Amino acid sequence: MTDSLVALVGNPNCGKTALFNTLTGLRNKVANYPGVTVEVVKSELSKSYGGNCVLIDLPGTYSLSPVSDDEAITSDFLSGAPGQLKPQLIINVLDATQLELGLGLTLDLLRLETPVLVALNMMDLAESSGAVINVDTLARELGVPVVPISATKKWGLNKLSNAIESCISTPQTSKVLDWNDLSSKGDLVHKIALSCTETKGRRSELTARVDKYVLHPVFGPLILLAALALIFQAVFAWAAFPMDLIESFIGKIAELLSTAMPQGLLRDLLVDGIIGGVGSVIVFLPQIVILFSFILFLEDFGYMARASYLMDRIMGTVGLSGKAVIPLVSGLACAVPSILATRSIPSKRDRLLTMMLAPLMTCSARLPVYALLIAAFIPANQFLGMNRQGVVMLLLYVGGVLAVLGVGFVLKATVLPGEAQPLLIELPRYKWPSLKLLGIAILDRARMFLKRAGTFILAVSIVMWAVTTFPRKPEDRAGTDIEYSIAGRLGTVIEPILKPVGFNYEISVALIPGFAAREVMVSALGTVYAIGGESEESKGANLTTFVQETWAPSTAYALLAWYIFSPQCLATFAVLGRESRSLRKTSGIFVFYLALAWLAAFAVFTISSWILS
Amino acid sequence: MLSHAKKGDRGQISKFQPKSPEEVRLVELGFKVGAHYEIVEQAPFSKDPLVIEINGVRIAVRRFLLNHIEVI
Repeated sequence: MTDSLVALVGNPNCGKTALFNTLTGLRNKVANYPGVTVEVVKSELSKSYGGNCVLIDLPGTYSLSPVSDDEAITSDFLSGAPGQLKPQLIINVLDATQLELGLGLTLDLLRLETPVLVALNMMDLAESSGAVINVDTLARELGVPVVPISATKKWGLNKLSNAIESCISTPQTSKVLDWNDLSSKGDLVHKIALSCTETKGRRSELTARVDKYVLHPVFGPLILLAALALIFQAVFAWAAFPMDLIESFIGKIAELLSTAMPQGLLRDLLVDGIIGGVGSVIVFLPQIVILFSFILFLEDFGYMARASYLMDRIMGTVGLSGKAVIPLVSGLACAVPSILATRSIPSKRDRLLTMMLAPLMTCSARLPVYALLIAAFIPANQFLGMNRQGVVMLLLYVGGVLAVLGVGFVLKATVLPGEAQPLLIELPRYKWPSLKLLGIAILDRARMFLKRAGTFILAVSIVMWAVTTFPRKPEDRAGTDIEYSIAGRLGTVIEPILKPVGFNYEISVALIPGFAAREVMVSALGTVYAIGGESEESKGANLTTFVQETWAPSTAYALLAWYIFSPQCLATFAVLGRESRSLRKTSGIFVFYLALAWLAAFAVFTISSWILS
Repeated sequence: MLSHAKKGDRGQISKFQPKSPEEVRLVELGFKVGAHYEIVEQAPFSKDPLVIEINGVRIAVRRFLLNHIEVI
């Protein structure tokens, strides 16, 4: 017998994804803002909850009349769009603290022919806020089984899994609640909510108290800025110690291998190619973990929707809605989920504009490049009470945001004219994130980063080592080994193009694999220099000090400016092409960003050379 | 009109006939005839968008979308 298909449906923020993760044991991220689940996520019900069915987590929606692409995914799926399986059972997750808000969707679901089971989530929160919901009355009114649960506290889940089983084995069609139009539907929702809520709940005190400051016209923006400044300071100050540990550990392994192994190609591949390449990226794990911890915490806490409200006006000046803030902020981690998250933006034009700007946000793959150059060229002394390196990093992030605003302005004036759709977003109640779920999400990100380092970066490192080693220079030829290799020859071709912006030959070579992924440039530089002519003296010295000694500061500054714009990520542009469904726009934006990168680097190099001379 | 409300205003929605999909969404979020609202906050200078609490749910919205909501 094939497994039954069970769909989880509910409002945004109703705890659907938390329930999904708990029931399946899968580590899918939970966040407290609309539009986290933008794709259909599928997993088997874990054995401890009975097994035997496949659970599907659908994007949150308020009704089956979609206004955005992610909501359309849900309604298409449930109505059995051609080529898709229809679920045997719908679990409607209702937020007990906001019953009336959720019941509208419930009434829509009851009109479908699929059996419905209601999981009344966050019962613990509802009770502590003073609302007592009579579960039996609700079940009677709706005509379907209702199971009270708490997904994060894991209670009521066994009852729920029993209910799932019995709903599948004996499917019941629900009593059809009738309404004709939106207003009679609203009346019905109100009547049901009133009949089963025994005491009117007080509104969340925590939310009102925190919002007093967070939404305040003066304190609100200041809090937003302070939160960002804290994140960057933490990414630098707190990460330094674990990074030193990892770095010295990798150095020890490389040293051990190079003394233990005989000289030759294999040793070069292991030490210079693999350990040098992968190691130089793994060092940034602590910074990425810290960055994600902050972003995930703010999402789960419920702050991101507030940030949309605070930024709406500024975003409006470049033709974006405040809703664009949520995908763009997740772009701080990676542009790929950022582009996917734009599906929660209702207007096609706004969505296209947002996804075209997403690659400009300072993603975590830029971090290794920035960190290397900052460590090498910016002194770590105090500046206005902050670490000067932290200040420069903050400026680079601000640079990314200014690039988004500036390019947004240009695109609004040229290819995507018009105004953004007016903002409309629910500000969810603040919730203390479950530390366990938060920890799982952070570990998940760390694992993804390491997996990437172990697969993609490893492969690129080996290819890089090969193209910088072969073909090998015959003994009787003059010049260095690298100049004779494939990469060296390619570098010679692009070097003249990059000379005006201050990039040397080695940078030109390292930028080539950097088009696969930005952070690869760091490992590529490691490889290029380790094999390059001066390698004998530089062996043992790490990349930071080597770069510090051999590059002009203005070259480093130009490279930083280059990286604000440069479209060096295969995955991002692949996803952009898929989501925008336009090869022309995708390639256009690629060329545009490449040109901007060159111009920015040129300007920075010229100006800083002039000042420093 | 709810679109003219100021920070701190409270009241009740008296008439609302949603026409656009966004207005339908407002109804789904609780903007129904008879619902009580309170203006929690508004953006500085332009006073737009604003934050409205309705049925205990907080919603950030541009005034433009509230043009057809009559209140008492």
